[in-house]
Amino acid sequence: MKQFFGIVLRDVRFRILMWIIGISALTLIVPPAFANLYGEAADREVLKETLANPAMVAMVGPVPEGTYTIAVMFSHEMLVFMAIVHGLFGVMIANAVSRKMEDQGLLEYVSSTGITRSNIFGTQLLIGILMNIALGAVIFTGLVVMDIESFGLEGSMLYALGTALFGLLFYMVTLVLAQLLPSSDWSFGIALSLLLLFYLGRAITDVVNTDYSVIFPYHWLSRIEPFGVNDFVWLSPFLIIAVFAWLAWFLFAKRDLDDAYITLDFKNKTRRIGSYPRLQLTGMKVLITSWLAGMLLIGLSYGSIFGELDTFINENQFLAQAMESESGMDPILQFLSTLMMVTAVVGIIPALMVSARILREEKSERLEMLVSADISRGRMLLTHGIFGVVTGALGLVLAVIGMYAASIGVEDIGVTIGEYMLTALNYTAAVVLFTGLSMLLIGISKKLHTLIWVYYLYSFFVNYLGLIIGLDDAWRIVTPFHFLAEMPAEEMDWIAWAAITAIGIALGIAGAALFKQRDIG
Amino acid sequence: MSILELKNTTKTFGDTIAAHEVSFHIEKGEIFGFIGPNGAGKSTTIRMIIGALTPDSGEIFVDDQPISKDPHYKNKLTYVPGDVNLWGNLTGDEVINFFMKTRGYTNTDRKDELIEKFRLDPKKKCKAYSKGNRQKVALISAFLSNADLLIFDEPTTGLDPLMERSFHEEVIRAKNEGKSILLSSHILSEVEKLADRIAIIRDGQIIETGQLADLRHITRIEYVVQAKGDLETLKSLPFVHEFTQDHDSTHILVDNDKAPEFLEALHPLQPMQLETRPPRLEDIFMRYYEDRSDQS
Ligand SMILES: Nc1ncnc2c1ncn2[C@@H]1O[C@H](COP(=O)(O)OP(=O)(O)O)[C@@H](O)[C@H]1O
Ligand SMILES: [Mg+2]
Repeated sequence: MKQFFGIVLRDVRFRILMWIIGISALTLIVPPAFANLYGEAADREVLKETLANPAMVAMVGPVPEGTYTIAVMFSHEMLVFMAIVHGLFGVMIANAVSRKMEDQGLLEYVSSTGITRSNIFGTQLLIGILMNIALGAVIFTGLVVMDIESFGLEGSMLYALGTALFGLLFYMVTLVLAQLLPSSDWSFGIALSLLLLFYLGRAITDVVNTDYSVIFPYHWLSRIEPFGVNDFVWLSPFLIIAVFAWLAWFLFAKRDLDDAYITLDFKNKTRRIGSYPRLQLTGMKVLITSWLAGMLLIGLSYGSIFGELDTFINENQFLAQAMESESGMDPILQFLSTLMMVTAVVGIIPALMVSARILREEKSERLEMLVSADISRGRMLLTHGIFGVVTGALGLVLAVIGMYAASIGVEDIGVTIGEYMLTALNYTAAVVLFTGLSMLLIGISKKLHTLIWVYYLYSFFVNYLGLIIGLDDAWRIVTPFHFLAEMPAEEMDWIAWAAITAIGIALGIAGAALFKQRDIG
Repeated sequence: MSILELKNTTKTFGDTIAAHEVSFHIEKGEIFGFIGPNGAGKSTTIRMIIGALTPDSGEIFVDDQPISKDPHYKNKLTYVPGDVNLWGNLTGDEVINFFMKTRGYTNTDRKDELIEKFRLDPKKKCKAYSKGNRQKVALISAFLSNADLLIFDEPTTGLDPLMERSFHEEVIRAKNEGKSILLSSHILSEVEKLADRIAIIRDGQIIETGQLADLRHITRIEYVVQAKGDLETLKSLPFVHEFTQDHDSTHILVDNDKAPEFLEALHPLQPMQLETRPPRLEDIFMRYYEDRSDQS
């Protein structure tokens, strides 16, 4: 077990380290920033009021009672969002040390050298526990050392422990899925879907009635209310981790390697795949359809809270008037635009995943076979770019259709389906820009492509903070969202739209041209 | 006329010179063996030929045209990499059809014949295939084309002996159709039977090119002998190297071009059993470097 643990750890330690550094940096830069921006209690109370509207509750969770100290503000605005990142960390690493290793034949290989099932599972378990403890320890220490006003020991402990347990929960869920499903693509896809679906489910129930939210682990974190109530009791639902651990072990011990409880191989007749685009479409069918379904679901979830938004504004006429006189815009349109922006930012992910699929061809050395068959490299990359943009755009269209359909009964929203479509078109410019940049990076080198995710995370984060705490717009100047109109509240800005789209296309074409020339493999 | 020619092609990766001024040519209708130990630069050279890597310097010609000037030279070649990975969700049949379609090859009888010959179950998904079966899919796809140049990078590593023979038969058939074949390997004996000419590469440099018969001066043959007389007396002969004794026979390594002299010397010792082992690559290198150090 010791040797096996050593090998596996050596394989994933760099990734784990990067995640720990990334997550703790993302977490720990926030308290000083909040202390700077919102040092005044009065400012925080105003912010708290604005966060009570359903659009914000859907994004960050219910507003806690009691004084809105810097620490409470931090945990309220960060917990639910950071939980997604912690969950993703768990999902990625769990998949890497379980189903992915199995797919690569590594588990079979080590089994033949006398390493038992319990050694393998013990290692997987231990890595999950240790990495989350390490991350929790860094965050806890960081919060304590920074010693910012209102960040108590107990609260810091609960924040670190809660997020670590959340990460471990999804680690364990992924281990269970790794036994049930036939390949690492499936276990990753389903685990990620659960992570996002729970977030959406919580968004709806948090707005409608938080009693229903208790079925979603995200809400357990909200209920702990670190730095406020410090309710230790809400750590106890995480005991379910033990059940999942047992279940994963039970399922793992009882099956053959490379076998699965759910097989998804349909015996279909030979498909006619005669071109590269067809080849890729066949390979990405599941990826694309599940993202499109996801985007529709995001639209439906957000659309379903528009009614609550309307009620909220009618009940808070004072706030509504304040918002209207400040910006000259209908407050409900402002909230809607906020949610639309979040949807647009999420909608970029599938476009990037589709365009990056060509790297999978390269890493598996299939690309050189395709190249030797005289399929143009530039055309292959353009195929991915176009598929990426089309997937992204379709996702946005489905999302706005979802919003429209789910809010059809709400009278005070005067947004027509045409305006919704125009909004989707507006944000398609951002999809084009991101995809183009991704293609450019692929064209330069396969390693450089990771930068697109760094840029994406940056864009996501500054947008998110811009929306919830009004982070200065200057931060967004290097993202397309600074320039694009915030539709539907603002009028479509065709010049910005055309400029960003054109830049995206130019980057993509440059990427394809470079890709033709660079060494592959 | 040569179908392929490399002139001083060099490729470096950081500090590693993977290929250093590699030059050789392949005639039309010729089987060309490209031999070298692991890490010698075979795959790097082949990847330059198929256009996956761009040479740092030097030039590659296909049909006497520099490939940098002919964007579609690749429809004159097909290639099977050493480590074949396929699309896990596609069946073998779908992959073969895909490559037939992209290469515009339509003879499905030939496809059925090859599938039969290589005993492939084409209805299975590629992720369920073993390494050998993936290799078969790629080999079958390569034979299903009208290309004039077939390039195989260590093609038989995953195949069992029976399939290896099928592969050799197909290579010879392609040659008889007038095609040229580039066959890389780290095992000399594997290529020796098939190749009209070979090139030997080591540390990125071609050290010998020519017909195997012409390379006799650098190969050594291992004789396994049992004799009534005392074989020890042979030890002192200049063309005898490495002399080892196992329980009942003696292994003697002899310069290939000195076989008559050796047999003459052996005859008086009344040999009862005589076997030969094919030249091994390592022995070639050893002799090559000994010769070089003698000269200097
Ligand atoms: N993409 C690459 N990056 C860095 N080094 C490489 C790369 N490809 C090959 N090499 C190095 O070049 C040398 C030749 O490798 P290769 O051509 O694969 O040899 P062979 O196919 O003869 O075994 C080796 O030392 C190998 O490590
Ligand atoms: Mg090689």
